This record gives sequence, C-alpha cells and structure tokens, in this order.
Amino acid sequence: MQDLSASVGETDPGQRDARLIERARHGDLDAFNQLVSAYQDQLFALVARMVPDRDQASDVVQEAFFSAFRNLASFRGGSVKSWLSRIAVNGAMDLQRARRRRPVQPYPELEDEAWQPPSGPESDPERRVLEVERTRALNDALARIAPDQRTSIVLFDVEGYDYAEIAEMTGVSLGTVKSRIHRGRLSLRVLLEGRMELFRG
Amino acid sequence: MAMTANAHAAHDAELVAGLAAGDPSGSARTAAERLVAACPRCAGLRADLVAIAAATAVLPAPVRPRDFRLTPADAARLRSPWRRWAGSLAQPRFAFAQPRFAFAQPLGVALATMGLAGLLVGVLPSLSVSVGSSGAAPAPAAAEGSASNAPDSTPFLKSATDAAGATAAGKQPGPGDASPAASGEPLPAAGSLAPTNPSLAAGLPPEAWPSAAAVRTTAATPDSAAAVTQPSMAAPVPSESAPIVPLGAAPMAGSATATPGFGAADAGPPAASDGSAGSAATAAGASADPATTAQMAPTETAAALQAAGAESNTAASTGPGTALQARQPAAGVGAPGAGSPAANNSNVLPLLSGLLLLAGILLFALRRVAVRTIR
Repeated sequence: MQDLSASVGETDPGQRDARLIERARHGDLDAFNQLVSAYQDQLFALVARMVPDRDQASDVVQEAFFSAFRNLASFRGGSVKSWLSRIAVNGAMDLQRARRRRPVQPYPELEDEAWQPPSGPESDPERRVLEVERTRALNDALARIAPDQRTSIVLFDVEGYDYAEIAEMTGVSLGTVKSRIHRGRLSLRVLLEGRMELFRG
Repeated sequence: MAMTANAHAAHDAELVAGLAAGDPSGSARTAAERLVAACPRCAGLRADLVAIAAATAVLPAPVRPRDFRLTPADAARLRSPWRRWAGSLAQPRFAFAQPRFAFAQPLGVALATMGLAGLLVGVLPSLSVSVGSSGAAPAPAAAEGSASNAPDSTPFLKSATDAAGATAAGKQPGPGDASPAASGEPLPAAGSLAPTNPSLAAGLPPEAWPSAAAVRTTAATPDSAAAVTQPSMAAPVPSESAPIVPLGAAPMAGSATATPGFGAADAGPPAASDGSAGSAATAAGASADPATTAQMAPTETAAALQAAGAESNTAASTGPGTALQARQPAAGVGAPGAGSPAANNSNVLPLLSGLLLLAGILLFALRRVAVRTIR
C-alpha cells in the first residue's frame, strides 16, 4: 500500500481526507481510491464481524464504497471514517435483516486460518494456541448472539465508537445501545460458560 | 456475606453488566457496587464480563480478501445521469433524505389514501347511475302518490318519479306555463322533469308506465315533452321583471310569484295557479337552466340546494317538497347545466382528489428515492 500521507502532503488524517474528498468530488477517481486504500481494511474488519459470510461481507464493503462514491456530494464534513463506517454498517444491517429471514450456518469461515491472529516470531507456541482458542471461542459466541447485540458490541468494543455514535449509526436510542451491549455481553458469557478459563488471567 | 444460588438468581444481572461497562452513576452505581460486594457470584459475573469485553477489543482483524478500489468502469457506471440525478436528491440543498423529513413518507401515504377515497366517492355515484338506469323498474310507488317509496333510488329516476308523483297527485300545469302548450302537445310542467315521463302526461296509470330506461330514452328525444331539453327553456331569462324567489324558501308550491322568474320568456303571464306542478316546473327548470340558476344569489342557491337535499327523503306527493325534489337531481350527478354551481361541485371533488393522490404518490416516491440514495 502506498504512503498516503506522502502522496497528498498531509500528516493529519483529517486534513488528508478532506483534501481527498474535495478532489474526488471534482471527479478525481485516484483521490477516491486513496481513501478506499486507507479504510478498506478497517471497513472489512468491521463488516466481517457483523456479517457471517466473508463473500457477503466483501460485497457489503464494495457496495459501501460504491455508495460513498455516488454520494460524495452528500458528505458534509467530519470524519470520513465515520461516514464510511455508517454506510457500511447500514449495508451490513440490511444484510442481517435479510439473513434473519433466510438463516444459514453462521460464520463458516471460522475454519479459515486467515481469520486467525497473525503470530510474531516472539510468540511462544503455548500462548499462541491459547490466543487461537480464545479467538475462535469468542467469534463463535459472537456469531450466535442476536445481530443487533453483535453490531453494538463490535462497534463499541472493537471499533471503539461511543454510545452516541452507535445510536446515530444504528438509528436507535442511546439507552437501547447500552441495553444491547449489556445483554450481548451477558449472552456471550452464557455461551462461553464452559470456556471462561480462556479469558481469565 | 455468603449468598445462596437462589438469591443470586434474583439479582439484576444487567445492573452488574452496566457496572462492568462503567455506565451507572449515582444511586444505581451505589446499588450495583453494593450488590457486587454482597454477592460473590455477581462479583464473578462482573469479572467475566470485563474479561470478555477486553478479549473482544483485541480480536484480530479479519483479512481482507480483495482490493475494493474502484475501476474507471465502475466510476463511469456510477456517474450515469440517472445516478447523478438520484444523488442530487440526497444533497444538502434538497435535504429530503434528512431525518426531519421522515414525515414525508407517511404524509404521502395519507394524501394518496385521501385522494383515492375522494376519487371513489366522486366517481362511484355516477357509475351507479349508469348501471342502475339500465335495469330500473317502473316506479309503482308513484301510484300511491309517494315518490320516495319508489324502488329505484338513483337520483335521476328519483327525480323523475318525484315529479311524476307531483303530477299524478292531480296537479295539472296551466296552459301558460310553457311553450309546448302552444304546440298542442300534452301540457308538461315547464322545465320540470315530470314531463319526461310521457305516461304521466297521457294520463296512464302508474302500472302502465314504461320502464325507467324507456322513460329516459323518451325524454332524450327531441320530440318529447321534456321541457329540460327544449331550447326555449334554456334561453336566457330577462330578470328585470321577474322576482327571484329562493327555491328552498318557497312557501307554497306553484305560487304565482315563483313561476314568472323562470317562464317570463316562454309563456307571458304567470300561470300555474292550479298547484304545485307549476312550482315543480319552475324549480326543476331553474336548476336545469344555467341562466336561471345564475340569477339566483349564491345564498339563495345554497339554500335551495340544501332544501332540495333535505326534502329529497320526504314524501313528495304534494306541496313544495314535490317541486324541490324534482329539482334535486339537477344538483346531483347526472344533471345538465354544466355551468351551474352544482355541476361545478361534482367536478371539483374528483379533480381535487386526483391532485391529492398525485401529490401523495410524489411525496412518497421522492422521500423513498432520497433515502435509498443517501444510503
């Protein structure tokens, strides 16, 4: 991936994004693709935790970038990452609603080794196995809780958004977001009942 | 303090989850902390929830399977004119996709529903007239002198039978009422719908009347005695010498004061001295004739229309109700006289309803397109 900061001569991501958005609004496809390069990993990580199927998660992310390109004029400033995340979360929630009507085996890609955490040479084998097991158990449990709760937990715990941002993204009240997170964690704890030793200590 | 498992089951787990997330404040936080301090299982639950949240936060990111950058072909497709137009709906200047315009969609549905209902209300009566007239039976009730008992309830036929009832009640129009008198035809009431039934003029008993369809067909022929179709009745009326009488306020059917207002151009001296038939002629003719209707003050017209509507449900064998009932269909659906206020009213409802329907659909569609576009 190319060094975006160097390419636009900015060090602050906010300023860089603003310049890229402005150029993209004037038809500069390269500028828009620089934004895609900057955020596609984060967006895919976000959507892939919400949508059980990797291919579908890829489609959601691609459609989110299409939608962002179509609606460049509607961007009114602020964080480009939040704007893109909102579009992607909306797409993922749409897909979740559709899947609720047609349930499938959740997270078949858990067997894919590409999901496992990258291991550095400094990791000892025992610790690495523990991390793999913990990640697998947690992903499995996350896949089994309600989609609304999963979305809120991913946005709060993984992506680091606060309650108000999540409420705005998902279109529910702040109290509902809190409730979903609390109940989601309680559900996770029930699902992980026999494997909590992976998480303690 | 040791707590039993049963006691823990009664504890508020969500309160503990809130404490683990650091959410509660004030008294709620105090209660949660007290609960955790008192119940070891609640304390364990809190520790587990904190550990799960920490593990979730460091979940490894899934690896992106492909590059999501747009190709020039993608960009060209996304920049199509239709896409640009749809995208403009979501722009700030249009703002139709913003949450504050969320009311637009339900409002559009409501408007469209009202418009549809108005269209149905405006169109169905005329459909029922055309359908009902083909199968209408004779009006035997008229034989008893009460047209309101006639089986056919369509406005047109009701008016005909009403007027027929008026005539059958023994009220024969005078010779000076209308021009047909000069031609030697059976004397119809001038301008009345009563003469549209020639059986009445011929003095036939009600049982021998033709069907309603036949009555209408006869009335439509140029040779018929239907005064409403005669040019002389539609001619402008010099109003200087004719006092205008509010039809709904006419105290006596067939009074001499009511007749000249209509028939001055036709028959010279006011006749109709023999009762309500003359008044029926005047009332019905006045409604059928735009010129005469135009002579009436708006309030008078309204009063007349109101009286006609009020009296249309009463027995119409004799008296002023006969005259006014004969005029009632003129204010209704199938009335001639396109320029009359009644006719205008019947046209305005479908028009307004159509506009409402159109506006509702437009509002709904715009909001929907805008919302979908911004996503």
